[in-house]
Formats: sequence, C-alpha cells, structure tokens
Amino acid sequence: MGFVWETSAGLFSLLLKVFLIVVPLMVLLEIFREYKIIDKLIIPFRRPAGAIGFKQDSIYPLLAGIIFGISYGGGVLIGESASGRIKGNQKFLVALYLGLCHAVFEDTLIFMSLGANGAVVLPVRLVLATGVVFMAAIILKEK
Amino acid sequence: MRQLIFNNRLAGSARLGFQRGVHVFSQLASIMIPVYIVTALLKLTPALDYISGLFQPFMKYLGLPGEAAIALVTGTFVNLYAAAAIIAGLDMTGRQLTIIAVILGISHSQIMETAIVGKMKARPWLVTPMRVVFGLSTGMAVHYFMPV
Repeated sequence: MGFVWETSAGLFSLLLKVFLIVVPLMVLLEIFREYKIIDKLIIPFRRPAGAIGFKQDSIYPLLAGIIFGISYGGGVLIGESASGRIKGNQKFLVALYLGLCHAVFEDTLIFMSLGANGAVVLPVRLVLATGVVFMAAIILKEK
Repeated sequence: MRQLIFNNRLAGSARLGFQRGVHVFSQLASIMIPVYIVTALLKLTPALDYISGLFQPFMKYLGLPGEAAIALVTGTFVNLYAAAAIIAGLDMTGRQLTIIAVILGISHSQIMETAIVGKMKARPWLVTPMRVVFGLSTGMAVHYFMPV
C-alpha cells in the first residue's frame, strides 16, 4: 500500500509541476510571437546559438530546456514541431544539447547540497554540450 | 477601438498558447505516467542491485569507491533525487562528489528522458547512448585532470 501511495503522490506532483511550467511557457511563447517580442528576446543568443549550429526557431525550446529541464524544453519543441517550425536535424541537435545539459539550476543545486563543486559541474556540462553539438552540427551539415 | 484590438490580440494569443500548452501537457503525460510507474516498479526488483554489482569493479577508474556504483546506476535509470538519497548515505570526499555529480549531471533519468526524446522524435537511439558515453568519459577526464 505504501508503494501505491508513494508512487501516485510522486507522479501527481511531477505532472502538476509539468503542467504549471509547460502551460505558462506555451502561453508566453504565443504572446511573444504575436507581439514579435520573441525575436528581440533571442537577439543576445542568436550569434552564439547560430555559431553552434542552431536555427532561430530552436532557440526558445533550447533556453526553456537549459533553464527548466528537458521535459519542458522538449514539451515546447513538441508544440513547435507540430506546427512544422522545427524539423529533423534541428530537433536532434536540441535534444542532444538538452540531453547533455538541462535544468542547470536544479541539477547543480542538488549536487552542491551534497558537497560537490558546482563551479566544476556546471561549466563542464555547458562546455561538453556546446562542443558535442558543434561537432554534430558540422557532421550533419546544419551550418 | 485600439484598446479592443489590443485586448483581442493579447487574449487570442494567450488562448492559443493555453490550448497548445494543454495539448503538449497531454502528450507529455501520456508517456510520463506509464514510464514513471515502470521505473517505480523497477526499483522494487533486484535489477538495479544486480547491475550495480557488475559495475562495482570499474568504479576505481572513475576515482570512486565501489559503493558509488549503486548511486550511479540508480541515478542513470531512476532520477537524481533517488541517486542523491544514496550518495548522502555514502562516505565520499568532495573530489569524489564532484566526479559523480559530473557523470550523473550529464547522464540521468534515462528511462524517462529517453521516452521524452522519443516523443520529440529526436533520435533517442543516438541521444541516450551518447549521454552515457560522454557522462562516463567526462567523469573519467575530471578524475584524471582535476587537481586534488
């Protein structure tokens, strides 16, 4: 009985968290798009993201995933790819970057609370994801 | 009139975003619910202990104690919180904690996150193995190159 209760409670709180993050992210995305704010918002990221191999439409899901987590960035990407804005190789590059590096605040804080050196953990993840995706984008000719 | 158009634009885009958000949520929930249950059941079986036993002898190449294998395997399959609970019960140095944090930071919650990458239709068969390989090799690199 303990198992059923624990699993249901854990699952419920996970789904609640996903709902409370994904829905506002999508509402903001559509409002930003309507008022053309999104273009301005991603300006500082356009050059570095473009140099790694990302197209403009990939930047919002990428940022959402790096900050909040792969489920949230992935969720935004599912919404965007349904509308045809993000395709094949770009989806893979976003998933690869987020796979290696996502939820940077939450994950780093978990480890720091245990006694790990956050000044090593976070930069190593960022540099690795950037380097790997940079190489993958060259191989896939996304640049 | 201007005010009305403004409100329509704002409300219209917000409504569209809400509908998209709910749709995306239902897509995520449809895989998260079964995967979460399967992962919880997996924790009840001796599978994770068994896999950890296989990896125990290799922990020294990562500069980690043998018991760290169970934390690495649990984090890889279940999630970081389950791994953190195990790590908290082990006696590890700050250096070892940093190494295991690098590995698990890169590669964790693989059952759930592979399912999500699958839902993204973003080549999970490539993303997941790459995370495991880069996680372990980066951990090893940190072990060999990090002073003290």
